[in-house]
Amino acid sequence: MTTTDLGAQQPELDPAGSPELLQKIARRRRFRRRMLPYLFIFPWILGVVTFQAYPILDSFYHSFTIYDVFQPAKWIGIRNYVNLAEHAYTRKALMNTFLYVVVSVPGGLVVGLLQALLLNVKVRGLQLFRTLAIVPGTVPVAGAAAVSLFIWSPSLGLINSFLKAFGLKGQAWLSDPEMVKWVFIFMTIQGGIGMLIFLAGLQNVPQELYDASKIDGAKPIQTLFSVTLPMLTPYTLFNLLTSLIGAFQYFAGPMLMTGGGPAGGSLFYAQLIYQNAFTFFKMGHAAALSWILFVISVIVVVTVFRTSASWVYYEGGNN
Amino acid sequence: MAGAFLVRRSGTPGSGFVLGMRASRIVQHAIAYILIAVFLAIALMPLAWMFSGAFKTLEQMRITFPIQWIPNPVTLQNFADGWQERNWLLNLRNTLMLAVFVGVPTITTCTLAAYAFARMRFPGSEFLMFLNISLMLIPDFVTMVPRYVMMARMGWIGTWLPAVVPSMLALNPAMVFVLRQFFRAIPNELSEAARLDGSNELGIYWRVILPLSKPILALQIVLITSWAWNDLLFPLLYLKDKSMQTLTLAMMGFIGIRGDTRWGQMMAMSVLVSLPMMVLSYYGQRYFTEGFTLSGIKG
Repeated sequence: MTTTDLGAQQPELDPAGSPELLQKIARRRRFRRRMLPYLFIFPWILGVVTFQAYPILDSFYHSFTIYDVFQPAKWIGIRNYVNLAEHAYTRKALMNTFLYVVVSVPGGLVVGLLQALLLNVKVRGLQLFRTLAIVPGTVPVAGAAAVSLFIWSPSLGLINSFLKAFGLKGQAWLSDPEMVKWVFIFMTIQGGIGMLIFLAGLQNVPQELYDASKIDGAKPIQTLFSVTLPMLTPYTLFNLLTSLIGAFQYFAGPMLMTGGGPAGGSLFYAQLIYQNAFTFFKMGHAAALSWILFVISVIVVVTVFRTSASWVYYEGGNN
Repeated sequence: MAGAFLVRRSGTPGSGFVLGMRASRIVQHAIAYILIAVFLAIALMPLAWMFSGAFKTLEQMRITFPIQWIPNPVTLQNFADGWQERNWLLNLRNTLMLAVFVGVPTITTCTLAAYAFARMRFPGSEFLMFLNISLMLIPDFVTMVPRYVMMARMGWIGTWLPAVVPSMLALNPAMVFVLRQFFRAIPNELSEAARLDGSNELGIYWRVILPLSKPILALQIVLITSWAWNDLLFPLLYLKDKSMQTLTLAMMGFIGIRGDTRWGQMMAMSVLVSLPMMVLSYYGQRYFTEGFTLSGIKG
């Protein structure tokens, strides 16, 4: 694409040219101007078709086949779905992911909100506190995984040492098939980027509302529930959606620390797909799981949006 | 208690001290300080333990009470041992290559698409934007397997093409959306003025919109770099070869071999891997606030 393709400005002809020719040129320019936006988004359209739409349809097809990449796919009907439903690891991964979604997602939202409220109090040194609060979230996942392994280590870990100091029994934590999922679920209850977004939201609450609430004699706790929280709801919706989608893809932490083990104790949905596809080369299973994930996320997102009309407050009316 | 952090006060934080603060306000601030201290202590504890462990000798790893946060004596042996285990510089180079190979084409094509969505009217634009927002909400794991099969069929595994080609196709709906929101907020008069001066759309995009979007573009660069630094899935699928591994993948191999004698090395290497990102995020933070406040979630 060159600049001259798009230029409609430079006169190409002497104005005294024949009227038909002028008309033709004008038509061509109009056509170009109309096509121009599509040129701008052409790479995007191509990307959506080849790397989004096609893969989703492709995994729908392959979810009804046996496929190991090396040999052509063989149609087997719904057997993948049946097999998966019967498989103990699938159920474990589903259960773990479900617990993660109902504990870690709301927990993270609440913690992020509380942190943001706390870091919005105008005290001395606020800027420093805000910076310090952001620091833990900036540690790359590999570093965080290494230090978590250290802290939860049964022999030299900080947690067990504390427990022993208080006369309690140390736990195996990450090597305990029942315990391990809770370690991951509680470890990820963090404000993180959600806190930053709530903090940005708090800056956007108009001061007049606080003043009005004060004049009305509202107690601080009433102001929280009738001014601050309603004004934050667009941000809550955003955080809720991103953390839900993040929860479906929770992968790196368990992968780095336990590889999903022991005995599938820390197997989450994303890793289940990964394992089926790239450890066992059961592409059919993986495709079925991908398609289930697609359906689940569509249902969840649509549900959240549907209900959001009743609890999300937009300044200047709902739209 | 909650009162302390609800009411936004005008004036500088210190002004109250001069004229004598109301007692309740002092109490509120004291409570706020205590809560902030508790929260920061919990949040920063693992990080402090990482730094502390990196400089400890093997004997000091055993935990004694009171907990020894500052190692004595300080040793650098962990760094020396950990460094020799792997070719970390190669991993660093690969990480930066991944950031560039993904970042440059993604930002180019996403800004173009975002410009069209923000500044041009065309049939289907609303629907396509709706599609873009929907795609933001679809987990990557949905398309992971078929994408991999596509790449494998084309013989791209073991090359950088799986990083470059999708990036050339604006495959980042979140970025398209955020940029579009930002571009929309730029006053139309500026593009009109450029148009009167004879600029075409590409000229406006290049000379008006992009220069005014520096904060949001800087934020995207920070985000992509930190993605390359953090992501595990992509390298696991496409950069498995020893010569292509990024830092995250190298760390995965490194922490995979456990044993209580290796904690010091692991902490030392974690410090080295983490520090650049912490510095980058510190500087990226203001772009985050700036970009986020201006583009907004609303609307």
